[in-house]
Amino acid sequence: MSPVNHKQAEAIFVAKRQYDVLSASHENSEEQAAVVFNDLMQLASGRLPGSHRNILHKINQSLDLRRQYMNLVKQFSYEYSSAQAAASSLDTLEGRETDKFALSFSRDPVAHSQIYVVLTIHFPNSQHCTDGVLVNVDGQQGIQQIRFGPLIDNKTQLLFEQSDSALQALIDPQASIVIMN
Amino acid sequence: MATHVFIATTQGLVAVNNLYTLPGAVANSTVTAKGFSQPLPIANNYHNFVKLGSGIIEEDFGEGKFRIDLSDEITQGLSWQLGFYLAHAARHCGILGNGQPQPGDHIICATGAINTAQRRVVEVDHVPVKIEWAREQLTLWQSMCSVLFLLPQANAEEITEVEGVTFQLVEAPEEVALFLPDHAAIRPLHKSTLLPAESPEQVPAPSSRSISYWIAALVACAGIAIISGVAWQWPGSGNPAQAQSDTQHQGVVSSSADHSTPVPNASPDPALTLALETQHGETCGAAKMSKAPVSEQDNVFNEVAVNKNLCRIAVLPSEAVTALLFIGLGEQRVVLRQLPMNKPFIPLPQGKGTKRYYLAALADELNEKTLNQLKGYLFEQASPTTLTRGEVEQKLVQLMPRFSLYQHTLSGE
Repeated sequence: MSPVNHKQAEAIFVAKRQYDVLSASHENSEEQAAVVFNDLMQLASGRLPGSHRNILHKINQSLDLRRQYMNLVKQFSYEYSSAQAAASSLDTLEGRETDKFALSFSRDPVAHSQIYVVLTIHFPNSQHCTDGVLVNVDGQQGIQQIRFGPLIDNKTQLLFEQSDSALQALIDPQASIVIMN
Repeated sequence: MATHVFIATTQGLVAVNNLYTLPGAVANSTVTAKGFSQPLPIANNYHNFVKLGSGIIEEDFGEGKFRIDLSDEITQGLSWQLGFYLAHAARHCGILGNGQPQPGDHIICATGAINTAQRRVVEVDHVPVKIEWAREQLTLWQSMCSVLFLLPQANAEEITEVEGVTFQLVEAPEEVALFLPDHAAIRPLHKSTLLPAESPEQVPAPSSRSISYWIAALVACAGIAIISGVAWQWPGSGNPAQAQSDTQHQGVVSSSADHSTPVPNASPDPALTLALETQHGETCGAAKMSKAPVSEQDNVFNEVAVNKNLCRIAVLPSEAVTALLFIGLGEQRVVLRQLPMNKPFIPLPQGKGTKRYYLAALADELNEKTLNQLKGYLFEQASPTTLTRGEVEQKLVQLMPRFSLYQHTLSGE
C-alpha cells in the first residue's frame, strides 16, 4: 500500500470511528447530549419538528440556555410582546394585542372545556401564509413553542382543551410572546 | 324524528354528530372528530367550503363560522362536501340528528364533491367500496329507519343495490334539501332563488306530520343552452284522490281563481311543448330503466304515483323551448330557478302525500333583470300558497312574450 493510500485509509477509518461515536451517543443518550448553538438556531427557526420537545426541555432546565434562546428568538422575531401589566383570568380570557398581531380567545359554545385561540397577524409575510406561524411563549412554566397553521385572511386559529399547557401559556398575562418571522 | 347525516367513506360511514355556529371571534370554520379539539386535516378545506366567495355554505345558509363534529376522522378528499352540505341543510331546518339513529328516524348517507363555482355535484372515486363498507350498517338500520343514499349523478353506474336502501342521484347541491324527509324541514334556504343549477326544493304542507315528507325538485344539466323554469306546489295535506281529480287547485286558496283570472296572451304556444317521461327500474343506477311517457291534457299532466321503482321523471322539451323556469309555491316562500336544458328531470321525494308543480317552457332566454323582477314579485307574496296559476300566468305575460305553463301532480304511496 502506497503512503498516499495508507493516509486515505486512515482518514476514512478515523472519520468512520468518529461518526460511529457521534451517532451512537446520539442514539443512546440523547437525554444527556449537550445542546449546542445550532440546536437553538434550529429550534428558534422551527426546524426541529422531531426533537424540539426534548431540546426545549433541556433549555427550560437551564437558565443560561433559556436566556440565550430567548435572545436568539428575539433576533428572528416578527413581533415581541413582553409580559403584560394587566391581570387576566381564564374566565375573562383577555387577549393580547400589539401593532403587529392580536391574540384572542373564545370558548366553544358546546364543548365548554375547549377554547379557540385566534392569532391575527396584521402584516404577514409569505411564510406566515404558506407555512404557518411559529410562536414562542416564555411563561411561568418555561418556554413553549406553538405552531399555528397558515394564515387565512390574516388569521389562524388553534383549538385547545382548557387544561392544555400551551393554552395556559398563551393566556398567561405575565408570559412574553414572540411571533417568529 | 331526526335526520341523521352520514358521510360514506372508504373506511365506513362517518356520522355528523354535531354542527353548530361558532362565536364571531373565531376565525375559521373547523372540523373535529369525537369531540376532541384537534382539527382534522380537512378543516381548512371545510373553511373554504363555508366561506362566502370560495364556498357555498355561507351563501346558502347565512354567514357564520361553523364547527362540525364527526364520529370518526376524515383525513382527505372532497367527497365529504355533499354530506356536509346536507348536514347544513338539515340543521337549517332544525332536524339534524346527532348521528345516533333511533327507531323511526331518517338516515341519509352521502358521498360527493361539489364544484362550488358551478354549483354542481361532481363524481367521486371508490363509490362501490364506500357502499360495501356501509352495507352492513345500512342493512341493520333499514329495519327501523328510512335510509337514503345520495350520490353524484355521474356515479350512477357504480351503484350496487342494498336491501331497503333508496339510492338517489343529485347533480346540484340544492337538491339535497329536497330529500330531507320532514316536510316541515323544507323551508327556504338563506339564499333562495336563481341558482344557475337545477332542482328546486320543496315546500311543506299542512299541519299533519303524518302526511309528511314531500320533497321535490327539478333537475337539469347544462347543455347547449340555457335556462328553464318550473313551478312547483306542495299541496301537502290534501287528499291524494282529490288531488288527482283536481290537481290544479290543490293547495291553492282560491282554486277557481286559477281559471277565472283573465290572462291576456297567455294561451299556450303550440311550439313550446313539454313532455314528461317516467323512468322505472329496480335499480335506478342501472341502464335497464324502462321509460314511459306521462299523458297530458290541456297542459296538465296525469298524476304519477311515486313508488320505489320510480327512479325519476325526465322533462323533454320541444326544440323551440330555449329556457325552463321553475317557480315553487310553498307555505313560506316561492322558489324560482332557471334550469339548464341539458337533461332536466325531477328527483323524486320520499314519503306520502301529494304535490303539485308547474313547468314553464319559454321561447326566449330570460335576462337577469327580468328574472329579478319575477323574483321580486314572487318574494312579495305574503302567502305564496294563495298564488294561483292564473296569477302566475298573468305575471309571466308581463315579463315574457311567449311561454307555456304546465302542471303536474305526484302522489306518494
